[in-house]
Amino acid sequence: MRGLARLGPLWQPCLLLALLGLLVHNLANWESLFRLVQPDTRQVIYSRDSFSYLLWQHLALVGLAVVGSLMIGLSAAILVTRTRGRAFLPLVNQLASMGQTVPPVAVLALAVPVLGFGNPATVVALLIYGLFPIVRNGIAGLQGIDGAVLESARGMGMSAMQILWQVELPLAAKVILAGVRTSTTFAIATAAIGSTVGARTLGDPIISGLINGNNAYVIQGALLIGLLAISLDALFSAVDKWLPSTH
Amino acid sequence: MIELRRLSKHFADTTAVDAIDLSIARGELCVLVGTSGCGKSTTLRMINRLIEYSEGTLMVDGRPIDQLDAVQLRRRMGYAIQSTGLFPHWTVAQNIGLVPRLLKWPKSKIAQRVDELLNLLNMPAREFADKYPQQLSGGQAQRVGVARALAGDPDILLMDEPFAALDPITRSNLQDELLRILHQMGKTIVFVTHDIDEALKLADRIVIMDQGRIVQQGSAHELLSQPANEFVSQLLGKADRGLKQASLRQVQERMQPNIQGYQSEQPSISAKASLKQALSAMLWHQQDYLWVLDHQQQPQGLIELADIIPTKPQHRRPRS
Repeated sequence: MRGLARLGPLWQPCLLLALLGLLVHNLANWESLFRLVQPDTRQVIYSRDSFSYLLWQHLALVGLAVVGSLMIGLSAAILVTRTRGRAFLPLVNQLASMGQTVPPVAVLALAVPVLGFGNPATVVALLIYGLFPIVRNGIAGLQGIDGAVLESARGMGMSAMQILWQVELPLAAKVILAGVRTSTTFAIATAAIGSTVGARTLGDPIISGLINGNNAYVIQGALLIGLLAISLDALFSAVDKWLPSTH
Repeated sequence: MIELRRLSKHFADTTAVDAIDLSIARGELCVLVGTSGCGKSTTLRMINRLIEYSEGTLMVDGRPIDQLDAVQLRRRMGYAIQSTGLFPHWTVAQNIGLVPRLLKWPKSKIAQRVDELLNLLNMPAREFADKYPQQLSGGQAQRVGVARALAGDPDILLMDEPFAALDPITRSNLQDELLRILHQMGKTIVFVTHDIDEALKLADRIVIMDQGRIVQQGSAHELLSQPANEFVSQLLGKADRGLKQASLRQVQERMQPNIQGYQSEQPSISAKASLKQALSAMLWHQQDYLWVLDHQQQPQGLIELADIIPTKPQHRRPRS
């Protein structure tokens, strides 16, 4: 365990990611295990795509969506916390909450006619759904900075841009990160639904298993999605510990 | 150096500063005093344009400040505030080096400046440079705040109640250090406080403000001997006025250079002590004279009660 301890807060996500890799590459070899769940079915290992391919697809969709949410959400949070944008603060708050209340399935259904089947519609749905925690935490993080710090930053002669990049964003980083963490967890879980509109994700085995009454497929998909969510959450937790405390 | 002419600041429906005139000479320590809401902080913050004034003119070095770039202007003025406003995610050294970095000094010069300032403020660089603000005591944080304000070697220093949140002993130490540093550097300082004793101790000139106007300005002596109105004498602490005045004078100004009969076991006082301290010592020892010693504990002279209260004959109590 000493070797693990040397990795500091990183050992936990490393361990989980290693486990995920192990599962992705070896799940197909554990046929006898899944045979126990589904004794009467001819095929018990999902094989239309490899699990590693689905994992990368899933991750790519989530990554794109979260980066998109972060860029749009953080920009919005920054804009409405400037003096000039303050009037839009309630509006943006409301829009973000609305994005949260609309179920992702509905967003998917609405996105498909515009963007067609497949990945783009899924990314957009995830992005809109993931916006809220980022906007909310972005605003909270930026507004939570000690007024005296901002006053002295201005008084020392820092420009507005310097204050934003060197003072505000670093001081809000922990809170913003917590938003990204929530948003990522949502996205990992929700991306599976993308499989219903033709995106390739780890939801494929689940959907296929539900349609064909094959619980082994469902378990395979759910296991990988669950482990992926836990691994990334642990990674965020490690990054959070690594960020310097600001209070 | 700093010229305020008929300067006003109106907020929505109130006038925070009402057409004040004030000129602050180079190298002067000017203290703005008043109760809260009197406009002293607003006045200070108009000088570095954290607040834009509504009417009048404000000139620094003969140039109206609205013609200068606000960001550039602020880099030339040190700024220290009560709550320090240190950046919690930066070390002490990074905090102090802020303005030199903004001014694009070379790295080695910044490091040298940071060390120099920390040592000047009695905070050994080796011990404190890499600490974070939350690891400092209130007094240490305030020192760093002052060091940060001085770092860019500004001609002008603006200080908004920098010592108000400190305990009396730390405050008094920092005041002494500030005076020592300023005498070395010759900066022009505008200092805001609500503490009249702090003003009396530090100021070359005291500016008393009330309801956005300047009520009276002058040296500590001028204010104590001729308060312009009831408000000023109240602020100066009516009943304590005599003692306050006595605290402004040093024993060496009034002592007699007479050391005949000096005995080291008798009560004594430092030549640099104030007359107030001398009075207190006399009361304590129940004795109407004290021996005056220099900093090497050598006798310099004698001070008697009559030296502190040199009453003219007509002011003596009539005896029958």
